[in-house]
Amino acid sequence: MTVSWRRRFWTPTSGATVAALAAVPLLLGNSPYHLFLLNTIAVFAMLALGLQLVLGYGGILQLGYAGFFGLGAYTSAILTVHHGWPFPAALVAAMAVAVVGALVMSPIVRLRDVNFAMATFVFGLILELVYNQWSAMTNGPIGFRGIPAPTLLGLTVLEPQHYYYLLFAALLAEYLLIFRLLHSPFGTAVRAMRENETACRTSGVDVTRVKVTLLLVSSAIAGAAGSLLAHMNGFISPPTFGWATSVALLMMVVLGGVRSLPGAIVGAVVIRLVVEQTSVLGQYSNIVFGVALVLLMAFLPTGLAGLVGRLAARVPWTGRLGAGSVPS
Amino acid sequence: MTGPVLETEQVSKRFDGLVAVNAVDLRVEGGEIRGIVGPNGAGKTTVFNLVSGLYRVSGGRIRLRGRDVTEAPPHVRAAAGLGRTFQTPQIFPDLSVFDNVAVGLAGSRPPSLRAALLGRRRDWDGVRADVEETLDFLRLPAGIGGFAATLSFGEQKRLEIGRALIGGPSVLLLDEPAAGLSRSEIDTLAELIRGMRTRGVTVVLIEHNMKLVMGLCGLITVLDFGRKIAEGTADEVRRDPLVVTAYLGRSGGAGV
Repeated sequence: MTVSWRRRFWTPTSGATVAALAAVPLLLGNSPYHLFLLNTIAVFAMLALGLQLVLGYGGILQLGYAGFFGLGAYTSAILTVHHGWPFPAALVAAMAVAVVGALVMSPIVRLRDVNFAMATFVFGLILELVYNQWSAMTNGPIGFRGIPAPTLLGLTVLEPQHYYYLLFAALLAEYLLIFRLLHSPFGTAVRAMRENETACRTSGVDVTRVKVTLLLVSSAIAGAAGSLLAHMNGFISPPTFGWATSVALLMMVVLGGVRSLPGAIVGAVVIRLVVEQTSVLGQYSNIVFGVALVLLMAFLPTGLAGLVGRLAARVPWTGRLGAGSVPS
Repeated sequence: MTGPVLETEQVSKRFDGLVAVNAVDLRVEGGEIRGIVGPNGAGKTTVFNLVSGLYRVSGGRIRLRGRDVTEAPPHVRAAAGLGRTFQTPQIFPDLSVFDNVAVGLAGSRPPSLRAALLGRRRDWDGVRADVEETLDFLRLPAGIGGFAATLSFGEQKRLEIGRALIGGPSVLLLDEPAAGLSRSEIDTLAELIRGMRTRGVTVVLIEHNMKLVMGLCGLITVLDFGRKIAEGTADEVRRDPLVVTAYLGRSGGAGV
């Protein structure tokens, strides 16, 4: 079928992948460290997917994404700890507040290219500043403690294995939502906009509206990821939601491959593992990251997904892996 | 409907000191194939950019089917029934042929997030028929799943016309549709443009190929230095002393 709108998510390959990912905790056994790492990766995979939508597909340089992640985390933490909200309500509120934050930022979509990127970056910096300075709400740089484990349907999710399934369900739901969005007339407009804005506008696409919609959707995702992180760790502090995280998320998208949904997840896995390994470097890890990003852009501009696609093209019996744009 | 489908009233465009378009009146009636000609730099494309909303006017009004769209953004004008193409085809090279044409439906059926998430895929199947019909009309090869970038130059130009045509516009602005085409492609183009009229589309075309313009257009508007210097049938325009001077004075007798 040549029409991308008819494309279905469920194929033998995707089904097998989903099943395999669901089985990962079983392989890790009872190692709390590895389960913690796995869950952290899952949260960042959610973020990388959200950023892939807005930045990869939409071509919108959202460089303050981690700030919206923080909006969700702090909203959820404050509502559950100080106001006794149940987790599901706090999760929805976290998404709502992140959306409102994006609405506040949305007038800048009229800015072009570099100016827009700068504005999003600064917006992220402002949010980070708020998390640091508004101690009455966020407890400032010391961090916010005592965030309860989430309770769903009367059950409290305490075990990291169980938490993984909560995150896994959220990630799968997000993936399906983005997949569906991209394989619709709206998705066609999104992909067209990235290629030629002028042609879109004269064809009747309200480019401003599409951009704002993408910013809002991706922010809702970041808000949900923030809430899930807060209740997973029980503790949050400002650096997690600062510019360095925004850069790390950008790297996940670029490394995995711009305009590839599986790529974003692979990028999240690789970057998080690298972060773990380079944490011994302390402050120098940022330098390592910077150099790595430059090398990546120079030698692997299409990311891992592009590399896989090129390799797969040489192997006769594969064809669908790989990335580039959504194949139609 | 009464009155012109497209009307510009004393439309002007200044870029700093330069007056690119100077108080141009244009009245295009429904069913016309109107030609706009003039030497390079006469302001023809600027008029298209003003009409389609890519530029804001410095003065004057623009009406589309009687509706004042002077301040409307481009996508609103597209939704109101205006289609256009560009001198160099502005396609989406990394999108499929299908998607390129389907984007043109955005004006008549705005793509929404709600429909994307809640709509049934069956609802979008009608689109496929529309796209196929449009590609068929434009005599584009059936490989609608291929990337637009792989099409030849002439096919890319027709693809762009398809995108502008699929939404069923009242007015279609074609900016040098014959430029860069082979002789046989130009013949096909002429047939297509006549076919558009039978589909109820009013066509305004900028073109340097005088044979094509003379053959297709009932009325021809001549611009020079941003001003309208003549308007009339091919014969009237050809004999107009101002037109003769405009062309002979600068390019030594080419064309008219």
